[in-house]
Amino acid sequence: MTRQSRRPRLRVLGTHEILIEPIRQQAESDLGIIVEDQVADSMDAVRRAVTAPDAFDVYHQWHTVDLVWSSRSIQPIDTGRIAGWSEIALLSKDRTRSDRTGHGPQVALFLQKDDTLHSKPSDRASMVPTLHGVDAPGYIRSVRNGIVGKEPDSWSWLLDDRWHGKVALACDPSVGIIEAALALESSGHLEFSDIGNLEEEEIDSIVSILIRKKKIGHFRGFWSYGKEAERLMSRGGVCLQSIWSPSVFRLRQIGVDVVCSAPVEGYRGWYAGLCLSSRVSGAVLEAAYAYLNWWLSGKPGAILSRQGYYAATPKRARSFLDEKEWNFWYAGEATANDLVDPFGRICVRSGDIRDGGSYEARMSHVRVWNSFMDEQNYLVRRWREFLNA
Amino acid sequence: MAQSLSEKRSSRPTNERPPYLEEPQRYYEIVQTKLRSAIRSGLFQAGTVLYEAAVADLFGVSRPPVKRALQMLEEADLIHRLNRRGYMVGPAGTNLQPIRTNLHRLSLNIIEPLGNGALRASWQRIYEKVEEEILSCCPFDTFQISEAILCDHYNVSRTVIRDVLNRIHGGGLIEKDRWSHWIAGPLSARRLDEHFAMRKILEPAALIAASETLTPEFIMQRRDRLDSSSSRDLGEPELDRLDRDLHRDCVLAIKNRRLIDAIEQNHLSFFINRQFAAKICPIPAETIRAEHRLVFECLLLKTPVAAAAALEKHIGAAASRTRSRLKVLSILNDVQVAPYLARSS
Repeated sequence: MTRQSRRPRLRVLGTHEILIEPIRQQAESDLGIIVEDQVADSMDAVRRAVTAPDAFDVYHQWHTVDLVWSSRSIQPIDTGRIAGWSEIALLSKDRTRSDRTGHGPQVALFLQKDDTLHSKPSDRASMVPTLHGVDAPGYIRSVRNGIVGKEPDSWSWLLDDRWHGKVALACDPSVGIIEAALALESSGHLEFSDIGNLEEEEIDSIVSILIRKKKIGHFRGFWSYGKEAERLMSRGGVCLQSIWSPSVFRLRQIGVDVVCSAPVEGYRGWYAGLCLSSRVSGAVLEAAYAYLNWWLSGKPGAILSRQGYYAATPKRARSFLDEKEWNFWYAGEATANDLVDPFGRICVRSGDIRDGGSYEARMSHVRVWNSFMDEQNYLVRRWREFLNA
Repeated sequence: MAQSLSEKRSSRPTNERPPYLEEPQRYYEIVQTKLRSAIRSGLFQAGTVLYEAAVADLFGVSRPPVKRALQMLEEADLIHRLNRRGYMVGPAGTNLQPIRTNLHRLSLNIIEPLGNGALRASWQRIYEKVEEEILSCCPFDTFQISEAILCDHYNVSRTVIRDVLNRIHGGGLIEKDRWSHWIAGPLSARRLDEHFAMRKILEPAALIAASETLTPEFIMQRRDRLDSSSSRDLGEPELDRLDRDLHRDCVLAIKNRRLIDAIEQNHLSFFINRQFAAKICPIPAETIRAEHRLVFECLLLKTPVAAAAALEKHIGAAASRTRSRLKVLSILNDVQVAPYLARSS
């Protein structure tokens, strides 16, 4: 048996955007373990987490924690074993918009005595928050040329006839429905009692409009992960779409000048966190706890800050970023130098300022959090009707 | 994209019949069998006149199955046409004197099978099965129901199928779309909540009424069964048995048929938990056992109002748990459904 094979092997399930190679290599190097990434798009990842908890040790999930808890795919995390737990950002309720809705990271964070998840703190957590951020429509800069006056960026543009045939949407139903709802609310077509937890009739109304829009050719395409969205914008004729932060910077690297909008209605907030498989135990469980702690150390947070994400422990991440990086990504200041992405490629040019501004400016402008709504089952079925229409 | 209805129809082997339909239970078959044996045994002498109306009255069924049974006996040369309204026992061409008798006076041993359930109406034979198949599919998509394939599948007439579907419609499980197709699903959390809300109103009231007839032995037997397994998890069969012990055997031990029907129309909620246990993971037993036990203990203490309150609380907690489980079912896509169901999307 080789020396290498005696190192614990940790199987990490997660999405393309988070489980990138620099993170995997850094974890192996810092922890002395073998990290085996299992990369999937968001819907596929949660399906695998629910149906095959044997097949992963750690799940880097994305607004799915209540689902994997209900399916008993994950086990509680002893917060006493997580150094830096108290430093995790977003655990307090400050920086909250009065109209913010949806499930924020703290809503299903703590395990209660009756085996349910709640925001009330306990010493057992459903996940370790690792990253968060905001999303908004992205558009080719020239889109602005066609706009007269000082019209602010808006979610309503996603369904605006001015960009008929040049718009793309995300396939993920949880993300897609919120973005469509924000667009329809903003344009005055529909009103919602709680945009973060839509009712059956509200979903019906949104889907009916989307199907009609699809049939008249409003949408150019749909995407499941970042690279697909980038292809749609670089070669697919899409000029406006929902988009994620890493894609904005990757498109700029190849000369596509994309703006990450700052919608007047507010952002769609998201968070990610690490869960432990209900089946993991023994030496692998120890390795998993080491991996969880490593994620709060600041180093991985710093790596992913370079693609536009915010670390759950920003102060710790700052110690792994140089001042210019911190000033651009977190302080919202113009950079005096070119900056590189997690792969070492230049993604920000000297003089650039981050769209939307500083960490505080962007995170305090979350209108709705990603979440699995109460009507998730109904939503998924109706959304599929829309995608197949 | 799912297989279309027409493809499904043509691909199904025509001789395939579900095993539970192997027993001949149709009215015309039973009438024909009984008459045949009555003729062969000599109970119906040659010359006995069999009017359609009289035979229908004898069996307590409508005329069409009797007409069909008599035609079959005529084809077998056991009877022959007397006039427009009836037949005479014996082969055609014989010069018999008609014997007009009151069929009710003949000892045919016919009444017994009528009363023992063998003669269930055609719709009753398949109602529960169709309802279960629709319940199985409704969380997973919007499905269009083909009446034609449903007829083929169960080898029954359109009239029977419409009876079945109308009754299922009465329970709120299916509806018609604007093109008049029967549609099942997708199941919403709202619909599930409505089922639980109805159960929360109806079951405690039923339990109070039932408490007058439930014996301590009957209740103790069910309470003790809670602890008969030390398993921490409940699979589908165990969950089903546990639910039946309380929600059917105790709650429905009442005489009010209308109340029983009203409660039974809300069994969708049980179905979601069974689907979850079968398709996702077993259900933790501890909480459910504790909630059921409290209801049984209150009944044994002869405090039906407290038992009803405990039952109401249990149904409320189950509503919340089931709602979470329905969310998890959202990840499942390609589930097996009956051949007469086609995905609308």
